Amino acid sequence: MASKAPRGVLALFERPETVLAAARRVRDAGYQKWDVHTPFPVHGMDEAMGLGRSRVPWITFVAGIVGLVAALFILFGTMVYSWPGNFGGKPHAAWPSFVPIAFEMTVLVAGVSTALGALLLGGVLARAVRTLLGRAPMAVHPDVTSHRFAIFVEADDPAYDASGMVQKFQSLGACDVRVLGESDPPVGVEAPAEGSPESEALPDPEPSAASEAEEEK
Amino acid sequence: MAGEAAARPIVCKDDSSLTGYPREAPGAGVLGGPLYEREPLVCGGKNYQQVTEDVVRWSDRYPTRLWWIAIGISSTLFLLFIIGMSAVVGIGTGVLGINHPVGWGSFIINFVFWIGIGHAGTLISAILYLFRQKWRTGINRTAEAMTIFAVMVAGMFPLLHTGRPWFAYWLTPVPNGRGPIWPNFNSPLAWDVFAVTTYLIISLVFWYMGLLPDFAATRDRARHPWRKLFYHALSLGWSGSNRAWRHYEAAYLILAGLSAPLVLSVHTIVSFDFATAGLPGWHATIFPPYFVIGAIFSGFAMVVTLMVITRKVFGLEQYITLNHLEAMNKIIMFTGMVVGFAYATEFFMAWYSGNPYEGFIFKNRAFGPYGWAYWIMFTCNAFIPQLFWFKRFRRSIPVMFTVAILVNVGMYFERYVIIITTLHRDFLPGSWGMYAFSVYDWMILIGSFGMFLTFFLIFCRLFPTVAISEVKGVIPAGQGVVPEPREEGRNGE
Repeated sequence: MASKAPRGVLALFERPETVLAAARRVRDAGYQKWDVHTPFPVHGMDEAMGLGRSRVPWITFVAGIVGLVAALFILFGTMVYSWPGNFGGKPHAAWPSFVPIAFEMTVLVAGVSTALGALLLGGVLARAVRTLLGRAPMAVHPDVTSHRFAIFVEADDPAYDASGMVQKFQSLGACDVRVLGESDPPVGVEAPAEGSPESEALPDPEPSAASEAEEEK
Repeated sequence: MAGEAAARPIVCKDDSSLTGYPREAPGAGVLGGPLYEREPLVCGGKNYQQVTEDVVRWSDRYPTRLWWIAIGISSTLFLLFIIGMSAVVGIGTGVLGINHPVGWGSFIINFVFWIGIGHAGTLISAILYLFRQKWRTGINRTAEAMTIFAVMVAGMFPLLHTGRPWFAYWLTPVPNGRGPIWPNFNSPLAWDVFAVTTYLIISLVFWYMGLLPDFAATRDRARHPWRKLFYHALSLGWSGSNRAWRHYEAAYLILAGLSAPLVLSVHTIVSFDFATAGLPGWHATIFPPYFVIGAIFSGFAMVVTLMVITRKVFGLEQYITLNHLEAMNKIIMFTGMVVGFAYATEFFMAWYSGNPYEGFIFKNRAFGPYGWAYWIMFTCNAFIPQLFWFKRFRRSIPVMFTVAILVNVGMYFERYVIIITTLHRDFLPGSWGMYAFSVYDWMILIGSFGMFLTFFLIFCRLFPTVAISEVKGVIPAGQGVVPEPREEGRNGE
């Protein structure tokens, strides 16, 4: 699968706390085009990356209203205006018996739109097209969907400085830092072999995490 | 204090060391406090990589002989279902046992039964998520799969019961040249169409959202190029980016919030099919809660049945531990008691209302010609789950498997009793009659299990059976606890 390799600095981390602390530093250093890749959502990462609240709830709200209005339009439109029928002498606009369908359609439209909206806002659908066309790789590193945590700073970032960042990430506890898309990858520490005690390559992440916690206060 | 407790590595040998009690840390004292430790949800001291490998490896190898045998049996039964349904469509619904006065036979019994099975999956995935019950992560994927397949099976029955399923789209408000004439939206049968369709679609969306990161993990581990392409397409190019996780998490929470009232509404609306009819034994306000709790009851029994097998066959005992099964058994016991209470309430209301027809129906239900079905139902649903008062039985695989099967037998008979006993003897003795299964009823009943199991086995083969990304969030390494290095041998201590 030929894909255009992204250019930038890729730092791989062992532990969620370490990558969280490193992400705070990257945010404070003022980078714009960067991202954190994790196998599962890391608690506090949105704040560490300086991202605000997701706008997905608004999509749900609007879609829910649309679903409700559409349901009421269909129900009242068919039962009262288009073909008013006499069912046991009950009123045509028998709104209590419209409640179940109105509820179901609200949930249906809101739910489907929420999922689609989240995938659109998160860039997942755009990525899906680009990866299937071979214009982008599937993940920055195959291990980030399993057990590694990565920070990737794109080379397009105005503050991009490859060698400075490699050192910075190593001091922040990255187990492996690579410069992607250059002529001589990978720069920096090689990934430790499987099964070797990886903690040796790691500076203790606790002090930096603790000092970060202090800074937050 | 709490920080110290959290920092201590959690040591857990294997399944047998899980007792179901919070464990006392050294020096915790009588009241324990923060030094009491809850047992880990995943045992065996797994790290992130092991979690991925344990789940993904099954889709990257040739299926086992056991799987081929199982799919052979279940697809044969599925074929039986297709033959039975073909007869119903090709010859007519008259091949079934339904006739005057029982016009709602096995079709509606099976529909209510299978829809009910589905409810536990949504309960586990949505309601337990909202209540922050983290033990759901080990079982939610399989339970949601069960929901989807159960609803798919359930949907077959009303579709075929229409007699002319090629006109089933008449149930939807499609603009048409017949007047235009519309469905009667005052009818619970029209509500059912919307409820079941919405339930299926939202469950699918919820399930797929949860599967996305796990498809990506499978994709990045797949060796064969076709397999890689298959998971690549399914994963939508998921890259684990936090900019995607941010919206994903918000959407997942909202979907859980939407599914929670939805699951309660679905069986409520199914119960309206009966409760809005003016027949004794059906026309009761207790029906919605009675149906919903019965659905959860039977659904959890089905989850236990499937989990006991799945965890063994796929070696997932360390993810779906005895503690998980015990928690589900507690829910089965509780809901079983509520169902038993509902049976008693129905009898009380039949007497207290002073309505002779209502009174007759319930006497006839328990002591009439279908009394055997009633007592099977009552024994299986109200008495047998009482075994779970004892911790030994809650944690015994053979006991829970037997109880779960009996609960589902009981819940099948609950629907049988509700539908058949009310219809076969109503107001006028002149219109009384009896109902019996024909060979085609048996075919579609047994065959529906074939359809369900075939889909379920294909799911187990192709999809990650445990929510990998969610489990990683609840294993000790994900909670800020120092994971022990593997060389020290957490398993060997």
